[in-house]
Amino acid sequence: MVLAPFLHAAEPTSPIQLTEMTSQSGIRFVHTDGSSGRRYIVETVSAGLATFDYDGDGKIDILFLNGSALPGSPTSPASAPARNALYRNEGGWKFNDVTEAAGLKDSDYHLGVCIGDYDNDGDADIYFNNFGPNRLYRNQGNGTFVDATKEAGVAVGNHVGAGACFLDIDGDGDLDLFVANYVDFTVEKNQTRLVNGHPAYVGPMIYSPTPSVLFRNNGNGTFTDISRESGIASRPGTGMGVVCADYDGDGDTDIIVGNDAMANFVWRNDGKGHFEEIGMLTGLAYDANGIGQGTMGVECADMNNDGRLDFYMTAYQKQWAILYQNAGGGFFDDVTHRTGAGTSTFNQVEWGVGLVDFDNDSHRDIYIACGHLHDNIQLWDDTARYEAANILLRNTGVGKFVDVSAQSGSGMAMSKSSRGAAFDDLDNDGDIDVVVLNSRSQPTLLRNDSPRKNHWIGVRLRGTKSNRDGIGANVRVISGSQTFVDEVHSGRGYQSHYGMHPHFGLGNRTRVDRIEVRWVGGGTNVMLNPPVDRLVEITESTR
Amino acid sequence: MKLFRRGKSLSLKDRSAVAAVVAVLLLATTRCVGQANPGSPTTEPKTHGSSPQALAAELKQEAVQVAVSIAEAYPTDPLAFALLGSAYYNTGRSDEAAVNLRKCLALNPGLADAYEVLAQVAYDRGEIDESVRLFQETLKRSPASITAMSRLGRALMDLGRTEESVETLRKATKLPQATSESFYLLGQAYLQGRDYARAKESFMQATQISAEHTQAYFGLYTACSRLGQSEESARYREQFLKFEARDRKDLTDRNAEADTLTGLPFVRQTVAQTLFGAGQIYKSHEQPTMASKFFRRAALLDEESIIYRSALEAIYLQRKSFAEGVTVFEQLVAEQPNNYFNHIFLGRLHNRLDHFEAAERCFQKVQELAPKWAEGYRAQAELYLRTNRRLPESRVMAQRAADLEPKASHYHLLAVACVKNQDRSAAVEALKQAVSLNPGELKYQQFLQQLQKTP
Repeated sequence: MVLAPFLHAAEPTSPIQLTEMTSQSGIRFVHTDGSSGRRYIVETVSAGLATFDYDGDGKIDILFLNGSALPGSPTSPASAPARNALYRNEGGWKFNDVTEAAGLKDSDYHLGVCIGDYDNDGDADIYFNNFGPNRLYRNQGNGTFVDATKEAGVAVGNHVGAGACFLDIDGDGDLDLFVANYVDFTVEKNQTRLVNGHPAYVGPMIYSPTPSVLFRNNGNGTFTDISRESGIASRPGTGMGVVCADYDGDGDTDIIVGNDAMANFVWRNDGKGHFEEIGMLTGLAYDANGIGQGTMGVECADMNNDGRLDFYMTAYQKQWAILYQNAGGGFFDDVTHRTGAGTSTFNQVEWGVGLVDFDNDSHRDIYIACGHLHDNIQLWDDTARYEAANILLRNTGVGKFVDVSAQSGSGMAMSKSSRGAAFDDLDNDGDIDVVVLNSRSQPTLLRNDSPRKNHWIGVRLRGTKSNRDGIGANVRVISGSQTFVDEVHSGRGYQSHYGMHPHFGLGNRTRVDRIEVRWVGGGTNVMLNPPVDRLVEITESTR
Repeated sequence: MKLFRRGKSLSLKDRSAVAAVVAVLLLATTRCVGQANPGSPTTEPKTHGSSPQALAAELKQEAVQVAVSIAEAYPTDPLAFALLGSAYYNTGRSDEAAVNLRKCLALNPGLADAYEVLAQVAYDRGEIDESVRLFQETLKRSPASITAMSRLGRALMDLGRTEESVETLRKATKLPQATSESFYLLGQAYLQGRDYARAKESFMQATQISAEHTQAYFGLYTACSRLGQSEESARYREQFLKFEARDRKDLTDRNAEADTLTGLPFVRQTVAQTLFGAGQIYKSHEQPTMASKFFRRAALLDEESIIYRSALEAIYLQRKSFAEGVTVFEQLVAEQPNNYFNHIFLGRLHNRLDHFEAAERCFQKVQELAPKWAEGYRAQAELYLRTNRRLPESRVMAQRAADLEPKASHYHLLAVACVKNQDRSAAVEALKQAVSLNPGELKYQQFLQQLQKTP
């Protein structure tokens, strides 16, 4: 009895608990932005990461993107060039660096990444969106990759890359490729500025915006640049995060691009691969004040369980990260303040974002990766720091989000300058874990140790007529009167890739009546009475 | 955001040091509630080889150093700490700003404006709940503060406390000094509450006050869309896009507010306001030489402001040190030869010294530099009338002043000039105009009666 108050005090106050696991994971990767003090704008936006099963062993592996030495960066002859790091998941929260063995040895300046089986051979291929030419790695199915950029024709050229997504624009069963670009920057065009006498990076508006690129998959391992004829090249932007999703529920995949310091783009697909930019009409272009935010990461999920995809966009300091609620009919409302979905974001620069039901209570929470882009920001603004704690907002289930960062375990106590964030079940225990890429630092691995009192179901899709991973498919999980909805995405958040298997928290529901899958191309599948608390696989019917 | 623009009359009433410093404190920490409105200086800054960004940094440091020395000199003066807090705030040192503002409030808990800046510091840190509490404290002490009320409304909106936000902003829009921002924010609060009809009405009022309020047009677009008013919605969309493109054209930072706050024009204004506050504090401690130094520096930094020059003149008028004043304004004229404010004050001081030709040259220069500003003609008319010289010209000058700015005092001046030129009937007509424009002024009525009685 004497100990009771003490025990009570030690209890977690948040139902979400995230435990820091990096140091014991074997992951030694340290990110470099290649900086030298010359303050190239690309340094500030590096980089994303990917979580995916590269070797098909059923465990999610991790691919960290890296920068590389930029002109002026001190390099030692003895030091190896910076490169990406692919870590194989060995189970038990142990990871092994297989980068070299896998053949991912390039030392490009990487920014964004997406994963997709572009050749429909049953394994996961990788596309890197770089500062400089981009690179496509084809998975050879034996744990190694081969550089297929040249044969595929997807290098793009000397652009500053951003997010990238595989998607099937025309429902023909193979994956096309959307490549967002940031600004028209080269080392020769570099500019810097002073703020209160201190050197600072310039913003994106100093450079010209650039159009994105859209490649159509020719079905034979090659792609054709259809940016112009598809309409994508018609509007240059300052692309950052991208997500491809059927925002209007019309059965095709649209493209939503977060732009930095200008209106976001919503490219509406006519179903045949022609796109029209209608961001303002949808309500996703600006915040409620008509401000083109400094959008960084873009995500979508059904945040209020009404069966429609809502969107969340992270933003620059002195702006709120925004939750756009789907009002139906292709229209969205900025409900940030009404719901508290922007709580604690106002004074942060936010990047990666995950709309994840961490405690499987059937309501999706929000994880936000933070960190200023100015490494000396405190010299002219002592309210901000280069390294900042990330934010966890818990969905209360009654239309409100509350900041539980301080009560959610050791994993939330760290301060780094985070960029990309990825969300997957790394230990196959039925809850979603977190991996964060931190600029100029080691990454962060967070194990989800939330109490397991709720039920869940995961869905792995196997396309047969449509692409193998079911990218773009709409998944509806029906349990009683409640319908949960999600889509399969390739490329999302802040220039990252994760979550290929839609995961649904079910709360105390012990039964799912059925799962409905609408594949890109129009086919549907229904699975009746699937078991809960496991990952179920649904294969596209061939009829 | 500027309180004084060209074209304002010189009849600036002296305010107490307290009022002036508090006003400066607020001005110097003014951050736009919604749309930023960058200033437009008439003269490019002299950078002396430094970039505008480096010069802005130097200016902010200068303001801090001045404020530090004042706080050291007057450790029991709450306004000295208010000024220091504001100077720190403007250099991004919010911790030190908060410390000094709290010191200010410890010395004078009634200073509403110090609370307001503290509230803004909390808001900038993202501590929105705390900023609400501090804005409420501000309003307890200054219930009609439009900035505090608007900012409180915005903070409540940010917290999703829509009903309280609407209530607060409705009060703000009923204040006599309600701005387009107040109406805009009220529109936003209504939008948040999904009261689209009232939102539309408020946004309309914002655009009636400020016809180029970019965000209000976005609000109108949104409200009309939700109301199903597609034609109006499309029209407002076009207007928004037009203004938004204009706003973005010269943007160098990620958003207009940051751009404005770090831009040299805004920094010059805010530093000038801080230095003016320093001068007011020195003046209140009977240190006119120091006060003069800072008023002069403020005037040099902000060419568009008349208030600093007026305060500078007042020092020499009160001390009857007109010759000293002439020397100071001659220096200002030498540094800013095209600033007509400098010439008018120099002329006024020459007038006090009976330097007729010198005063006349100054006023003529004012007319040359600002031909549509009534003040140059009025001053010259007064000079002629006071010295009984060139009386026909005095009437011409007074008439010009009245034509340019038809106000009671100008018609009164014209009446005097007419009397001096033996044209009683014209004087009566002018005085009738003065009385009609300002019926409460007994002086005009008595003068009129006197003229009408006298054959």
